Parts: sequence; structure tokens; C-alpha cells
Amino acid sequence: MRGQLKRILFVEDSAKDAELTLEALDEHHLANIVDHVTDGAQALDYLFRRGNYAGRENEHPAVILLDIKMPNVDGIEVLRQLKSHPEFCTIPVVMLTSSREEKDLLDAYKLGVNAYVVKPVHFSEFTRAISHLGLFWAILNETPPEKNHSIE
Amino acid sequence: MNTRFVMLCRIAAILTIVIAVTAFIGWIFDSPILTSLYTGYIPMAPNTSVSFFLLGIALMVFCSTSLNSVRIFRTAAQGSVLLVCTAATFTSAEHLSIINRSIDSLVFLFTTDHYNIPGAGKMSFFTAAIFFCAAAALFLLSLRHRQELYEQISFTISNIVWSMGAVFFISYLIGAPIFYGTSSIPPSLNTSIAFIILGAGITGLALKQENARLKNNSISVDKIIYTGFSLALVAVLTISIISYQYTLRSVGAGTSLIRSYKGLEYLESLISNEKDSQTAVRGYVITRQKNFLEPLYASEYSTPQILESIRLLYVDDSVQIASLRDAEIIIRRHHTLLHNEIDLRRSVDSDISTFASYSRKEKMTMDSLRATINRMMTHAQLHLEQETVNRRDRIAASVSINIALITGVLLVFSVIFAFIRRDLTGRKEAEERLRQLNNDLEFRVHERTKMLQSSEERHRSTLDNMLEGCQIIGFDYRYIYLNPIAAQHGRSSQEQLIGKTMMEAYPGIDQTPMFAALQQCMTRRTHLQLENEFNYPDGSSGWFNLSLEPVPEGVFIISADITQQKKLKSEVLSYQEHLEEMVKERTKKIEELQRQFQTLFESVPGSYLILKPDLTIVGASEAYLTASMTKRDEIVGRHLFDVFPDNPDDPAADGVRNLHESLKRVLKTGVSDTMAIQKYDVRNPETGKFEVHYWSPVNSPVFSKEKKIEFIIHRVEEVTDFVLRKNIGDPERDDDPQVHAKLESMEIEIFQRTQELKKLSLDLQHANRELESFSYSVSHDLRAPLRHINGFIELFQKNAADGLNEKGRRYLSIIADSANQMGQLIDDLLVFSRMGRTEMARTMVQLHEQIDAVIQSLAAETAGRNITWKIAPLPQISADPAMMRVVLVNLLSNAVKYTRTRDHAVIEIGHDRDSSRHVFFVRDNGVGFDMQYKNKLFGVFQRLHSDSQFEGTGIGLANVQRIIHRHGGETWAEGIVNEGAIFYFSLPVTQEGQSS
Repeated sequence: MRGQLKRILFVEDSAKDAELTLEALDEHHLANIVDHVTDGAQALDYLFRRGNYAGRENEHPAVILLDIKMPNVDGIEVLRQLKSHPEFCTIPVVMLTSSREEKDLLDAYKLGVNAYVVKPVHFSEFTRAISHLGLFWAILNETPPEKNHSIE
Repeated sequence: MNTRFVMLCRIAAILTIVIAVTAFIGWIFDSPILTSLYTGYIPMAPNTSVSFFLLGIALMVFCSTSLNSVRIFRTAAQGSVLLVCTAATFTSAEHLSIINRSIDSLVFLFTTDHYNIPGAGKMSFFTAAIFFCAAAALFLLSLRHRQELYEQISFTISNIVWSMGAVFFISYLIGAPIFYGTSSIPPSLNTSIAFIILGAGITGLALKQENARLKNNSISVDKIIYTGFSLALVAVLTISIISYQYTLRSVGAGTSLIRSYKGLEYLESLISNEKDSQTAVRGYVITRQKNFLEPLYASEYSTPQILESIRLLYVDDSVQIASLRDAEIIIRRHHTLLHNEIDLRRSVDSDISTFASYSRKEKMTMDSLRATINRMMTHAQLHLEQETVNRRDRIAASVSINIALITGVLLVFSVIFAFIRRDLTGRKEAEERLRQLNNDLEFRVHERTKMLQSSEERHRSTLDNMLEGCQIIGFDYRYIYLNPIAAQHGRSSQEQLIGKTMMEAYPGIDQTPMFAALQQCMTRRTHLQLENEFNYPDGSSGWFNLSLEPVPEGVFIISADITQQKKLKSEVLSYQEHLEEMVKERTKKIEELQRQFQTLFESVPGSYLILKPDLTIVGASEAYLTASMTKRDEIVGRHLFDVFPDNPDDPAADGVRNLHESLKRVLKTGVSDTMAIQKYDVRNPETGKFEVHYWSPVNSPVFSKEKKIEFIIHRVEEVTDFVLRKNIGDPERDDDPQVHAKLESMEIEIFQRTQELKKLSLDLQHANRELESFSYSVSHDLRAPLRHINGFIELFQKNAADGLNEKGRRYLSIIADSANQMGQLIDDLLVFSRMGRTEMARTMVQLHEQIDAVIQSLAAETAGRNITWKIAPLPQISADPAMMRVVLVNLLSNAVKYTRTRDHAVIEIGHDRDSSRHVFFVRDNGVGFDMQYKNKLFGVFQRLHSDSQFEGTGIGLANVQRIIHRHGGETWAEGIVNEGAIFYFSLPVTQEGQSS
């Protein structure tokens, strides 16, 4: 019997975008394994198991979907903290952004982002992009890293 | 060793001659002792002695080198040898009864009475045969050809000669020569001895000659073996003779034994006869019957016979003969008695008693007879016993001698065998060694050959593969060797040249300097090197660098083709000349130009001084010279401040310091420095005194290509008058308020303007920053609501559109389209704004490749369309590739878009250029446009067609224009409604563009 599947951490401040994203993920039946937080600070709390998430039991997410433009702690900052931390630097991070601004893209890649998805205006394109994420996630679960105890 | 053989020969010859002469003298003086050495022995025949003499002389001649070399002696010796040979042949023939005895002649000169031997004085057959052998051997040795064979034969024959002599000699020693008593007489004793000596001499001669021929000094093994065999032959023959002798003697001993037994038998029968006679007489006396007397008569008949037999038997035994006479007398007396008794009985009838005396007498006679016979018998018995012992002894002696001789023969054979074996082993070993040596040698020869071959091959292949031509010319000027390159140099082939002389191959070559050099090398054997022009038979020629080297075979020539080099060299030379000329011309021109420029510069109206960064003066304009009261020659090349020092009389002079500081600033910053008006006094060369001068200097740098300051231009304006005047119009004095006011106002204006500019610049920066943040937020924030609208509309369409009617659904789709359109607008606008801000990254752009890629990316739009693309050859340009791609995408997609209504669209991309710019154009046969709106084409959001006709945001061409402007180019368009449009853009020709 397979253990609990790894989860997806989804960081998005815009409720509308979040709804659309979750809707798209649901198309691939991935919505129920998604943990959604609404800003960077929460995302960090979640990962570091502090604040509201101090008692979080499940292990680290297989992938993090991270919006860039967020209040307080923005996506770039979250990314920077993750990639400089020995425990989290291996978790793949996918940047979600509405902008095609090169600056953002360059910053994200410099920090070691694993993928960069521009939220398309068209929803259908968006679902397609999300399905790629699903694939990404599936691959991560099929080849478990060493620290993964729950798979067996 | 050789001298010993010679000595042997000489001694043998002399002894032979002595023996022969002795025998001959013996014949002459009729002395058997000289002819036969021993009375009763066979004498040496006169012929034999003559033959020995001749052969002895011949041997003497042959063994003496000095005598033998005299032809007459040698021929004479050969003649005598042949004479002996002939005589021997004839004698043999006589003996064999082939011819009549007439040749054995010399005997008639002498008497043979002393020799109680038949045939004495005649040469025996054996002697003749041995002479033949000896003569033949000597003759063969005297021959001068095939010496090896003849020596071998002579040696063998001479061995036979002396061994036969030895055999005869030994047979004499033993007692009787063989064949003695047979029909043939054996050779005499001295002949035998002479044969031994002569044979030894000839053997010695043979060995001497062989050694002389082989320049050897030893006896070869086979010679020893031969001699050994001869000795063995002698021994075997001796044994045979001895056996023969003893057998003969044993036979003699046997007869004497038989004789002894017979004697005893006779003696006994003599006694029994007498007894019988007595008994018969006694019977007659008693009976008077006559028939009793028979035995008496029988005995009287047989007894004389027996007596005779006994006498014969003991004829050589005097004792027995004497006894026998006694016995005879007694027997006669006895018989007389017996007959008296018979007569008595017959005549008178006497008394028996009378006979008693007779009986007594008879008995006495018988007793004495018996005693005699007994004596004889005892003697015979004794003799017999002695004879038996003798015979046994003799047989024993014979056997032991035989054993001894056979042992000797065996010993000889063992020695021979040992020799043979040693020789064979030696030979075998030698052969083995030889074989090994041979193998070794063969191997070494093979190795060596291989080595030589490989070395030869290596050399050859090295030569063959050399890039220089190699050839070996023999002393007869024949080509011995050429490598392919050499053949190539000669425009011939190896096969054609090798073996030919140079003159044959290249007629007339013997008149060339090269041939002279070759001759010199051949004769003087020195290395030579020369460059030679070789004239080919076809009239053309080539230049070769030749290196001549004397080698054992002749001369080795290495040739290198330098025709090309020569040609190049001459070309280079002519080029050089040309170049020099050109340089001269150019230099002249440049000098001219320089002069012109200098003149120009020097006559420029302003006052200019040119300085190097180290502040030495390089040049000055005439105006400057006039103003500074100097002459060009005096200042050029000198340091600025040497020429223009401060006025030593003016303690406040700061000209040098200020000017120096200004110049330093220029050197440091690379920016022109305008100095404030400066008092700088100048010395008047005429008076030698400094005059007060005011200057307004500007120092500007002149950069080299490497962006380093090469010169400083020091421009001055003489403002002495102005300053002096101003000073005169001092505020205190206020002489010229007009001027003052003017200056004031000018300064104020300048200040205001500067302030304005600064503000504008700040404003601009601020605006730019705002624009950036604006477009950034536009890109994020403006798109977000649009995305939401779109997303939720789609969700709505998917989940809830069924509840809508036709109209509702249409509204929904319009909302969605509008949102999409707005998203597109925003994106384009962002691109447009980015185009103005992003930095350009110029590289060389292959327009062709970009066009191909763009056309491919338009596949969705061109699908199902009939479009002909005409793309002219396009140059490579220096541009930002991403931006150029935006330009091409816009222009080509426009062309595709606006030809949509055409069945057959033709889109042409072309290029043109003039000296300063490339002009590219995209021509289509689409809907075109009205030329009166051409200015609107490139504006933002400017569209000439409705959205329903041709969709679009109106930003594409604006982008194109912006990009081309940024590249330093222009855009424009031409169009005719419904016929088509041409969109042009130009790009300046850059250096890289030119080079392409």
C-alpha cells in the first residue's frame, strides 16, 4: 500500500488567481493535495513549521508553486530564503507570475528557480501550463529522494 | 719433415744403386756371394741389377729439386724409368709365355754354373711385376699434372713394392723363400731387400711431393693407414709363409714316425722268420719230411727283402745300419747252421744226439740275433719316442708363432682401426664443427644480408621518399641511381635514365656549368654546391639548387627545385620595387598633405599651440607666434614652460601654475578645460623685457585611436586690450558701464540656462524611472484583472453557459474577446516600451536565417495560402538580433495579413545599398494603403484598417520604427490602395557591414 502522497505548496495572494489555479489543478485531480497559503510569510511559516504551522505533521512538499508579486514577503524573497537553506534548497520551486518582465525572470533564475510559468490570459493555456506542473509533481513522486520515508 | 722425406729418398736411391752395382760386379767377377749374398741362394739377375740401377738414378733425380728442375736430367730419368717399365713388361710376358724368351738377354754374358738352381740369372716373374709397379709409380710422380691423383696412386703402389719386398725378405729369413721349388723362382734375397729400400724411397718421394704441393709438413692420416695396411699385408703374408713352412715340416715328421713303426714291425718279422726257420728245420730233423722245410724257404726268401727294407728305412741312421749288418751276419750264420743240420739229416742217418750240438749252436745264434734285434728295436723305440716329442714341440712352436703373429696382425689392425676411428671421429667432429660453423656462418650471412638488405632498403626508401631529388652519377657519367623526385626534376623517369649517360639523356649537358661542376667533383672529390638553371630539351628551363657530393660510385647529387622560389623572388623583387615606388609616391603625397595641413594649420586665424602630453611644443599657428612674439624654430621641440616662463619681475605671476594645472586637468580627465582669463607676461625678444599680456586659453585634448591623449591643443585669445580696458573701467572707476552690464547679463543668462538644463535632466530621469515602474505594474496589475475576467468567463462557459440563451452566450464571447484583445494590447505596449529601454546587443545578424525562421513561425497564418516568397540575397548586418526579429515578424506578418484577400500573394524581400546605408524593403501585392495616411503608419495605436477587416493592435509598425531608429536607421512606406505596399527600412553601413 502506498503511503501518503507528497503535497504541493501553493503560495498565491490573489484569491481569484488562487481559485483559477486550483480549478485548473482540479482538472488533473491534483487540487486535494494542494496546501494553499496566501503570502510569502505564511509560506515560510509553513515550511519552517512555525506560527500557524508549528504543528504541521506532513513532510515537506514535493513542489512549491510560488507567485512573485505578493504583499509583505514577495515570491523572490521566499525563493531566496528557500534556496539558501540546506533543507529546502532541493525542493523544486515553480514561479507563477503574471508578468513577462525580464527583470523578474532573471532574478528568479539567478536564485535557482526550477521553472517559470507566466500566467496566460487564456484560461485554457493556463490549464495546460498547470498540467505540466502536475507532470512535474508526478515525476517527483515517482523517483523518491533519499529522505522520503513514507513512500514505502 | 720434408727434408726427412728427401733424405729417405736419397738414402733409398743410393742403397738401391749400391745393391744393383754390387750384384752386377758379382756377375762380372763371377762371384756368387756378391750376386746372391749367400752361397746356394738365388742370385740377383743382371737385368734386375740394371733395372735397380736405373730406378735408383731416377729416384735420385726426382727427389733432388735442383736436378729435377734441369730438363735434360728429368727427361733422362723418365726415359730410364720407362725403359725399366718396358723391360719388366716384356719379362712378365715371357714368364706368362705370351712371347718367346729372347729378351731376357744379359744372362748369356755371364756363367750360371755356380748356381745349382734352374732359371738362375733370369729375372723372376715377381721381380718383373714389382719392377713394373715401381717404375710406374716413379713415372707418375715425375708427371707435372694431376699431381694429386698420381701421388695417391704412386704412394699406394710404392707401398706394394716395399711390402712385397718385405714379404720375400721375411720368407728368406724363415728359411725358404716362397715358391721355392715351384716352377717359378722367387726374387733373390738382395732383390727383396732392394725392393724394400726402393719402395720406401718412392713412398718418401710421394710424400715429399704431396707436402710440397700442399705446402704442408705432415703425413696425412690416410697415408699412415696405407702404410699400416701394407705392414698388415706383409704380416699376413709372413704368417702364411710360416704356416706353410711348418706344415711342410710336420708332414716330414709324420713320415719318420711311420718309418719308426715300420722298422719295429720289420725287426719283429725278422725274428719271427728266424724262429719259423728253426721250427721248420727241427720238424724236418724229427720227421725227415721235406714239407716241414717250407717255412724255412719262405723265410729265406722274405728275410733279404725285409733286411733291404730296414736298410732303406734306417739309411740315415748309422747305428741302426751297423746293428743291421750284425743282424745280417747272424742270420747268415744261423741259416748256415740250419742248412748244415738239414744236410746232415739228409746224408747220414745220424743220431739224434748229433743234432743236440746243433740245437745248442742254433740257440746261441738265435740268442745273439735276438739281442741284436732287441737292441735295434730299443733304438728304434727310443727314436720313435724322441720323434713324437719333437713333433709335438714343433707343432706347439708353430701354433705359438702363429698365435703371436696373428696377435701382431690384430695389433696392427687395431692400430689402423684406432687411426681410422680417430680420423673418423676427428672428421665427424670436424664435420660437425664445420656444419655448425657453416650454419653459424650461413645464419650470420643471412642476418648480415638481411641487415644489409634492410639497411639498403631503408636507405633506398629514404632516398626514394626524399623531397629533394637524389641521384648518383657514375664516373662514366651514367645514371646509377635516381629517386622519383630526381626523375621528375629531369622530366623523365627512373627507367629511362638509369644506365644512360647524362649526355645521352640530355644532349648538350656537357656544355653547362652544372656539368663542369660535376666534372670538378668527379676529379677533385670535393663537395660542391650551386644554383643551376637546367634547360630542358623542349626549351623550357627550371632552377635547381644542386649539392654535389663525391661518393665511391661517383657523385651523389641532391637537387631541390627552386624554380618557384626564383620566380617568387623575382616577383617579390619587382613587387618590392613597385612598393617602394608606391611608398615614395605615397610619402610624397603624405608629405605634400602634411605640408598642406601644416600650412593650413599654421595660417589658421586663431592662435593655436600644439603640445605633447609631456608639454613639449609640437607646432604653433602663425597667429600664435605673432601674439607670443616668438619664432617657430625657437619654440618647436622645447618645453612649454622653458619657452614661456613667468615674468620674474612680477611677484604675483601665476601664469605657469594656472596653465600647468589646467593642462594637468585635461590630461587627467580627457575633457577640454577652459581657463579663466590669465595674465601671462611675454618677453619681447627685441627689448628682452617682459610685456604684460592677458589671455583667454582653452586646452583641449586630441585622442589617438587607442583613446589616449596624443596632443593637447592650447588655444588662446589675446584679451590684453579687453582686460586692460576693463581694468580701466574698474567698478571703482566705472569707465565703461555698458560693457560691464553686458557681461553681467551674459553671466546671469548662462547660469539660468544651466539650472534649467539640470532640472530637465533630473525630470527626464525621474520620468524614465516612473515609466519603468509604470510599465512594470501595467504588466502585472493590468494583466491580472484581464486574466481573471478571462478565466472566470471560461469557467462560466464551461460550467454555466448552458443556462444562457443565444444572446447571453454571444455577449459572453464578446466579453472574452475584448479581454483577450486588451491582453494583447497590453503585451504589445509592454514590448514597445521595452524596445525603447532595453540595451541593444549588437552582433552580426544573418538576415536570411532570421527571415526563414520568421516565415516558419508564420506557418499558422500562411497555412492554406498561396504565397510566393521572393527573397533577394541579403547582406549580413550588425544589429540586435532579438530586435531585428521583432522588425521582421511585424513586417512579414503584416504582409501576410494584408495579402489575405489575394488568391496569389507575392511577398518580396529585397535589399539595396548606397555608400552610407543599407535599404531593405518588404513588398506585397496586398490591399495597400492610401499614401495620404502614410505618416500615421508608424504611430502607436494608429491603424488604417478596421479591426473587422484586419485585426491588430496598431503597435507593430511603431515598434518597427522605434527599433530601426535605435539602430540609427529610418523607416518609410509606399502604398497604392488595392495594389500593394512597400515598407522600407534603412540601416547605416557599419564597418562590419562593409566587410561582409
